[in-house]
Amino acid sequence: MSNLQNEVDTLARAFAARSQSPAALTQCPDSDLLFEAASGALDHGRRMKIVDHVTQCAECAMAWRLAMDLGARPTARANNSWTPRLALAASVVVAAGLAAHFLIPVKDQQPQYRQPADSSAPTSLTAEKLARDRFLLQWSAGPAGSSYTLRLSTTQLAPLFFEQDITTSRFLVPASVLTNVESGQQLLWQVEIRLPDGRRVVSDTYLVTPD
Amino acid sequence: MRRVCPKSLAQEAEDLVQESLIRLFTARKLGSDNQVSAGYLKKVAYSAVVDEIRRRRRRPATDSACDFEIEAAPDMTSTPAPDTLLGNALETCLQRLQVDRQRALTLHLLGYSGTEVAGILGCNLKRAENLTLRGLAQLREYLHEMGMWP
Repeated sequence: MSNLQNEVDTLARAFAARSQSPAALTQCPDSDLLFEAASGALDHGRRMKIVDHVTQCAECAMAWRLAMDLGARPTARANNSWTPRLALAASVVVAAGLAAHFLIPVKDQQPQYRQPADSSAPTSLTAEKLARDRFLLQWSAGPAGSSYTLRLSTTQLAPLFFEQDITTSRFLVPASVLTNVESGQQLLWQVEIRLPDGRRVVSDTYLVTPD
Repeated sequence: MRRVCPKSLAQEAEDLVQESLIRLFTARKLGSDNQVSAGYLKKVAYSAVVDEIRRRRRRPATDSACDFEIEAAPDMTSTPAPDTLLGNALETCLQRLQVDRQRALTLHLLGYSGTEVAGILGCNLKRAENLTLRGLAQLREYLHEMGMWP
């Protein structure tokens, strides 16, 4: 048995052996009320008042235990007194958000990204539509000594093609990769550059459609 | 009744069953609208046991010795046992704790598990355990100040 458990046992024994104040014995709640409190049927304030009495009064502690043994358990609602408060707080936040959305004028501006784009990231030099028999993906070249990893997938993110250690800034995707791709179906592609200093930078994701 | 009756009332279980039945029949005779559901029977039995617990506790000290089987029964005529001394100090120190910690720790000392304490206080298990442990740490300090704890 751990030291903590020993300590708690000693304290629990002593607590049970304490002399009770006469006041605690004369203000016991009605047994029905006690059962309702144990069941979580009372509001938080009334319940805590009874809990406070139970922690003072050995006989009511025994009665509470008996109620629990008989199946009295707080319901989920009573179990979480924070729920109404959280709901209220959430309502206030939503209302404030809607008010801000509709009332505050928005200036035309460029979209703000959480992270500024890395200037080393490759950018697409590929047309939006490509012939499937010459599906050549091209991007801006990095410094000499860079290598690239190319990923091609459907818009449902099912991978179609993956090639790494490409040493040029263009790659001809084999026509066989596009065999099951319908004409006009959009695909996603992305290239990752590995810089000579070992850093890796991923490009934006681009759309391309095979004819 | 036999299953849930506290140990100290085990010998009275049959009497308590009778008492519950009398209450039930009286309620029916008086035309109570309560249906005799399992929940109602449970409440009647519960009420009978709780009344007996309280009746025994409040019986005058001149009654038989078995009246004091219930834990924490006051006995002012003899020197308090060491546990009682510590218990009384403990109660004083518990009063000094923050109310949430006091509730959680006291319930823990009364034998309730962390989950039960959380259910009673209407908080989650982590908070209940946190309140109990912080309360315990503070309690140690207070008892130490009183010279009641090593």
